[in-house]
Amino acid sequence: MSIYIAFISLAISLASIVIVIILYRDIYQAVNNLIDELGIALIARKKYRRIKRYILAKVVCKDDVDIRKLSEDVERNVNSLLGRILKMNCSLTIISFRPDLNRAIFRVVGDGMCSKYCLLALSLQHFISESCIIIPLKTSGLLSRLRRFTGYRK
Amino acid sequence: MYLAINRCNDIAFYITAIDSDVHILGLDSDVIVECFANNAHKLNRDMLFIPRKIVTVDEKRLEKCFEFDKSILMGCIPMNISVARRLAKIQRLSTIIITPNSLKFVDENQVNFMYQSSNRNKYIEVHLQPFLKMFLISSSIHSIEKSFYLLGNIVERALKLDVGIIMSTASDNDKKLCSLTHVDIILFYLGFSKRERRLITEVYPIELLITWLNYK
Repeated sequence: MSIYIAFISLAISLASIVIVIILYRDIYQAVNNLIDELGIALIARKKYRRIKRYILAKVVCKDDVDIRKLSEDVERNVNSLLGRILKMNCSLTIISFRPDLNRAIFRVVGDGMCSKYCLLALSLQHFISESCIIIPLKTSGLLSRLRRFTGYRK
Repeated sequence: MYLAINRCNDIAFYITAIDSDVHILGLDSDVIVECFANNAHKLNRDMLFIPRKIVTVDEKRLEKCFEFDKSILMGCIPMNISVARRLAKIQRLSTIIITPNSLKFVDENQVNFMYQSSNRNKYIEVHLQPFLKMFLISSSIHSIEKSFYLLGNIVERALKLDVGIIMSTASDNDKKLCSLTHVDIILFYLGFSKRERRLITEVYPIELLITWLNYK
């Protein structure tokens, strides 16, 4: 008798799992709609995830260059490559430059795809105005990890 | 990495400044004579010179691709589908070059055709610079999105069928150079995994080099 009860309970639990899998998307949508209707969307979930990434890059310049000029050049070229609409969700700034090592660290802030776009834009930026060539070496979410890489820190 | 540099000082600068391991430089024959004939030891590196010739071929001028000495590693840009198919069949070692202009002739079917042909002496060579120039010059003839989509499909197909494919960044301007890391990032952007990128940037070029060294 007990074995029948065990089989029935197993069948019921399997059926409930299948129903949840089938209706998962509908339930998710219904919960989201409920959150929207109750007006707590801003608290419950964000519009997009704002991710911060750091890029360590090698900077190859034929002439001496200071951080201000490099920053202006790179920002102008990257803006031109990414376009204004993409720049709404994606920002790139140079935060550190070591001319003796030819290394620079860039900060990328934006959604998940932003770092991918910025890596490509940094790689192609010298095509726009023939400025310094920037070769991205390493990407990380932690600034301290990048500073340790290849003896960036003094 | 193929670079078009025409001054000896620039060669030394880019070899030491851009990458640190292996370099493949595309140089004019005049530059080689000028820089390496007498003072090859100046750079203190082991060097191997591969003579190359790149020609555009159509049906009337197909012989142009094979009239030079066998030691020259030929690169042929087909301007016709039938020429592209014939190039895949010919036994001689050469590369079939993809540029935005030859993209519609060297497509996924061409990769299938190369896979079916018996000889392994044919490689696909992608010239990246004309593709990258499309970012700067908005051309109505070629759509950037479509070109990169087709290029990605061809590379994917070639990798799937194990047809040799290499990337070349030969440039006519020494300020607009692409290093190996840049190529890697472009491939990453096109959606290729680390293993696939290694195949394109390291394994197939070495395989082509070994094939060329053993080729007589």
